[in-house]
Amino acid sequence: MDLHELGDERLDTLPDNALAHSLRRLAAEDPPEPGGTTVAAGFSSAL
Amino acid sequence: MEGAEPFREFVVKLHGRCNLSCAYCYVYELRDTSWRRKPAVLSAALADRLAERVAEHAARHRLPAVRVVLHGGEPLLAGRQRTGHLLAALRAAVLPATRLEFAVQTNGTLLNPAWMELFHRYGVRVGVSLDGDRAASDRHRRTRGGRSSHAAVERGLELLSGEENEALYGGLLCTVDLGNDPLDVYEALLRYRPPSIDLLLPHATWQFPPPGHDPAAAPYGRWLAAVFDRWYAAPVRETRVRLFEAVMDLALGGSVVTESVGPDAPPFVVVETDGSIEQPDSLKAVYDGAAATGLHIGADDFDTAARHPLVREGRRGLEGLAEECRRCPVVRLCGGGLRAHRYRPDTGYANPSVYCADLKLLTTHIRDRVLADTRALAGRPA
Repeated sequence: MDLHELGDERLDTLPDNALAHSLRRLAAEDPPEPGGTTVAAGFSSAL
Repeated sequence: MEGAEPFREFVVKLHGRCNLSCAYCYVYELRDTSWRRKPAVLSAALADRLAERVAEHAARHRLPAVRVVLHGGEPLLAGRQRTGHLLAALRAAVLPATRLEFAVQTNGTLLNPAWMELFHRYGVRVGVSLDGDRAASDRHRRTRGGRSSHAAVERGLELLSGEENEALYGGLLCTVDLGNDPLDVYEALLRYRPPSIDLLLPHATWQFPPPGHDPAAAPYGRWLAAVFDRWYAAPVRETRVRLFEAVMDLALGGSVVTESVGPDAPPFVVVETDGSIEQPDSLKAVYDGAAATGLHIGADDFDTAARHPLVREGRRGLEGLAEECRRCPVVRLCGGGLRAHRYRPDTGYANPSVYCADLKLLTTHIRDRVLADTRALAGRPA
């Protein structure tokens, strides 16, 4: 699946649901936070 | 340091004991017994040495940022003075050349305004372990005397989720129990307004399988898929769920670095209360001493740890998996699962996960749903 098929304008119009968040994050090349299993997520996406 | 990736996250066992006695705890209740031989708390001298080692590693590799996670046991048992000493030592040693992020993973029972003041001073983000509502949490998360911890955790979470503290609220860490209803657990966690949730499979191996282990029925996969469907279908995303987001990103072609799914292991290392340098602490569920490296921050730098054969073996990604896994069509989604969960005494870690069937069910469920919806958005047939 090529995300570019959706286009930025289409991404902007999506509802604010989980899929839209993932698609926007992927389009922005902003991966989910790295981490081990014994530490909660939600600290940062900067590393 | 040819071929060895530097560490970017340091999990520091600030305190090696706990005020709870959770039945599934990988530190005290499973295979590893090394906590009995280690001091209860990281000394001030070792805290200073640790700060020097982190700074040395960050400078040598010109790391733009590192994260230090205060962990345990229950790290808040170390007290605010000792915790403040460690945080100040790290700041003094690491800044300004490298950005420093602090986090703490706590059971939440000891959180109070004084702790929050310290965490604000150093920008420490707080993750809390909780398995759902009172009935769900009481299955495992009790004091040594058998009393429920839920009310104390709830007080801590009310404080943490308040407006004045929400910037420091990292999220919730929930261990799956098949005896708890998946949707009830998710709804219960949502009541604490977490910015993020992570759902963990209880640590287990082929030698010691998890409760209710049944590859034909994949009950853990079905439990997680039920939560995924509830979370995914919400018209507005209510919280982040790291496990689900990771699989979605992988299914959509992204790259993800988590310990539980995907092909790449996160670059983190553990420092124990005695200063010993260890591998990811989930390995404590495997056998006594499985996480040990024999290295110590007094004598060894973190580059030496990154080059250690056991550490390198644990970071080989897809190459380090069993042949059966490498040939599997979903390996890029599950990554073979958590390393600890692959262990068998006769073949070591070269096996599919004890949760293989569960991971296959969950990851293909997420992939199929996400790809179908994305194709529909793009105006293509599913």
